[in-house]
Amino acid sequence: MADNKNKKGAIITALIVGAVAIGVYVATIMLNG
Amino acid sequence: MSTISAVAAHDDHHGPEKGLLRWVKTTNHKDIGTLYLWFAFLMLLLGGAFAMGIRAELLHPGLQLMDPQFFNQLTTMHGLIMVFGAIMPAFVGLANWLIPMMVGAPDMALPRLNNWSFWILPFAGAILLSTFFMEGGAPAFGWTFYAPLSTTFAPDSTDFFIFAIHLLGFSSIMGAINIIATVLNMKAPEMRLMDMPLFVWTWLITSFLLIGAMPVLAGAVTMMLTDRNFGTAFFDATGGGDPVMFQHIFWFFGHPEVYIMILPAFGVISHILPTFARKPLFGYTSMVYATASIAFLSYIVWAHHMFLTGMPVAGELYFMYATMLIAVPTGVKVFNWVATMWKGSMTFETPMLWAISFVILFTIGGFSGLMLGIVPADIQYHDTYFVVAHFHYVLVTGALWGIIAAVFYWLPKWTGRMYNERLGKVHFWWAMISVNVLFFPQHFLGLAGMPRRIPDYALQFADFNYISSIGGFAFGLSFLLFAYIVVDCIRNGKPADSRPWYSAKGLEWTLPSPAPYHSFNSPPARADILAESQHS
Repeated sequence: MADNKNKKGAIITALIVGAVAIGVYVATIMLNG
Repeated sequence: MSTISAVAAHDDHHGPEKGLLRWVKTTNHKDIGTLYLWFAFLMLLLGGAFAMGIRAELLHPGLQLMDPQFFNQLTTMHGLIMVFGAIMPAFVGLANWLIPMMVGAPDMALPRLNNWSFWILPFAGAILLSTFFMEGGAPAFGWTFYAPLSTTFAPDSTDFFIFAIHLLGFSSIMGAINIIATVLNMKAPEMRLMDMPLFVWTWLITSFLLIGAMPVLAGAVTMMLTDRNFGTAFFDATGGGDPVMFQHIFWFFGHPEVYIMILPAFGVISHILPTFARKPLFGYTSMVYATASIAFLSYIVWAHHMFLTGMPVAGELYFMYATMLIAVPTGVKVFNWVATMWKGSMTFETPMLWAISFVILFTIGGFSGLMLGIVPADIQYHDTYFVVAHFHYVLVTGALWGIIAAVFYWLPKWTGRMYNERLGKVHFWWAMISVNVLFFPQHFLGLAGMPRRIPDYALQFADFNYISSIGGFAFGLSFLLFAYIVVDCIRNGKPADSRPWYSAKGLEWTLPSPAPYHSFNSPPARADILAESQHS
């Protein structure tokens, strides 16, 4: 049975989603500047 | 089941730490879920105490108990504490407890991040509350903190408010990252996306809303901070800025925020109704797509909060029609819930009572929202008590109802004990009647023209305000009974079976009650997933 502890995938997902959040934050300020 | 014996063996040598440090250092999703839920309940009591102050002042016309400035501080802090301190953390607590068990995962994907997400909250809350004791008092510009009230004309404590909002937003974003990573990477390998329970689906979609909306809020408060302290003029017209832009940015966050607080409640209700109607959920697939549609639409309707700021007619029409459109997927969900109950063998245990009343009362809040979305009508209703009635039907009898329903439904799984069913029903009817006495007359006050956020009012509003305040005090008291029921369940409840609601579906019910400290160290098999799916 396959493992359900996909740690590497979880970290990559977290980094991508975190980068999107930072991008939204920066874009909010830059677009209003 | 083999998973359970493996779990029990594992617990023998690696249970929770003893003492207070367990809660400080814990990376266990169940511990962190418990922390979130208790924190949210304390904040609910605190925000509720502020609401009692507001309703006490409004019991009679004239200034009775406090000066208008303090009244404004209470309304502001009530809104902020309830939204960021009570409702959102409560749903994150439910997500922590339930999502790993529902998807057959051993824990959240990023347990240390999870610990950090929670422990930021008490500090952020303390910073926010400390503003009451500062010179000039707490922020008094309403939970929407429109510029220039929150920039040029705000008390010094506003900088602490800004810091607190940054921290709260940071915590929410980290929580959302964790949930997305958990659902996409840690669910049982043999669980497909369309096998996932509705609570997991609604939280996954909510997490994407958080990722899109919370950084916008963070951007708004950052710009406020630089306007106040570093000479920028983002929202200052005298420096070339635009205060109305603040409202656009705020509501670009604020409208998805409404759905952040209600979508997980939709998920909860989609579990409870099938259990007590003893039928599979009607229209599982359409529920998933309706949730995603609501989330998408929530990003493109923000300016319906701003019809009175002045905008081109084409803009008004667009935002009005886009708002109407949300009624379609929401209607799909409501009709699916009704169809789930249709011809079911229904029984009315406490969670079911909360779930059914959610469907009825949330729909009232939804309809008054449609009324507010109509431009010419909104010109009459804007900033009146009709708006207050509307969003309390959505957030109290919607979001909070979903949380309370979830607590009663999963309490036996969390504690291994049953709550007192008779007291649960007494509490339900007490809250159900008093909440309507509290909020329904506010529709009439608003239609008659009573503005929101005022400590005094004209004499013609006296009777309905009196009724509303009496309902408010009764509703506030009902939470003391709620606390008693939960504590009584934990201490004295009768032992609960692993599946106390025998028709309940879901992987969490395959675990013993209380759920073991570590669960699903080996993932559930396809057959178990299908047997517990909401399709079957």
